[in-house]
Amino acid sequence: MKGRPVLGIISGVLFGVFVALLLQQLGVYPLTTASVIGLPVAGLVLGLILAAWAPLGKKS
Amino acid sequence: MKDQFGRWWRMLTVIGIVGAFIVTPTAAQAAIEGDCTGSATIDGVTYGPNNDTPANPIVVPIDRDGVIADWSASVGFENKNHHGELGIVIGPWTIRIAKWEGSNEQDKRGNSGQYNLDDLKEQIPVPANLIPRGIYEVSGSHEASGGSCQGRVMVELAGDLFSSPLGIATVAGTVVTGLTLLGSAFRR
Repeated sequence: MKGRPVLGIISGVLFGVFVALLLQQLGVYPLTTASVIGLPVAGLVLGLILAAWAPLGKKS
Repeated sequence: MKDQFGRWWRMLTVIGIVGAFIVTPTAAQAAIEGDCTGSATIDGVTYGPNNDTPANPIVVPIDRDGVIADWSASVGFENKNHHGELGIVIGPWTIRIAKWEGSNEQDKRGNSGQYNLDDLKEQIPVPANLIPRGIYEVSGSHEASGGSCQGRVMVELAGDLFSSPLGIATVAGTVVTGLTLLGSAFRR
């Protein structure tokens, strides 16, 4: 991986948790299985994709 | 510069695709199954089983004291030896907030009354200003000798996102973890 996969996994999961909480508190979507489990899993996947792709920073 | 701009666009495309995947399964599937119905009037607005989507919730003004809800409920089947419960859905779990049962030998099939929303606040083990605002899925079931029913409605504890410490922490956490997630996309 060109980026930072461990950072991507951890921050992706936490980002998913916080987005689920934010959507709940904004009255957009309640804390269902889809949001409480689905969003952190999607965050994890997004973190891995970003770490594998690593489109930012200097090219070596 | 152009190359960097292109990479930003490609990254936004990936985020958009993942975001669409997240949002797609979130259509509400709340309903009442069985011959039961009920209603509650809060601040002059009458709510019922149709308030089952996040866009059309039962609005509870949690910030105000002394709000009274007029409620009524009925079942369309023999209602002896009944029992039921009500709970808040949190992910795959449901936290029970009320439970009832009785022999009901007179086969009473309906009831109504008034509920002071301050009683609800007293049941929650945190001060009122710390109760997380937002939308909640509330599910319930009722079973008796003549039948059963179950259903879900959406309840919104109305209030400003920034009026509770949890709201502020949630916004801060989203921003910080979002930026950290972006950091994983930088080349080592």
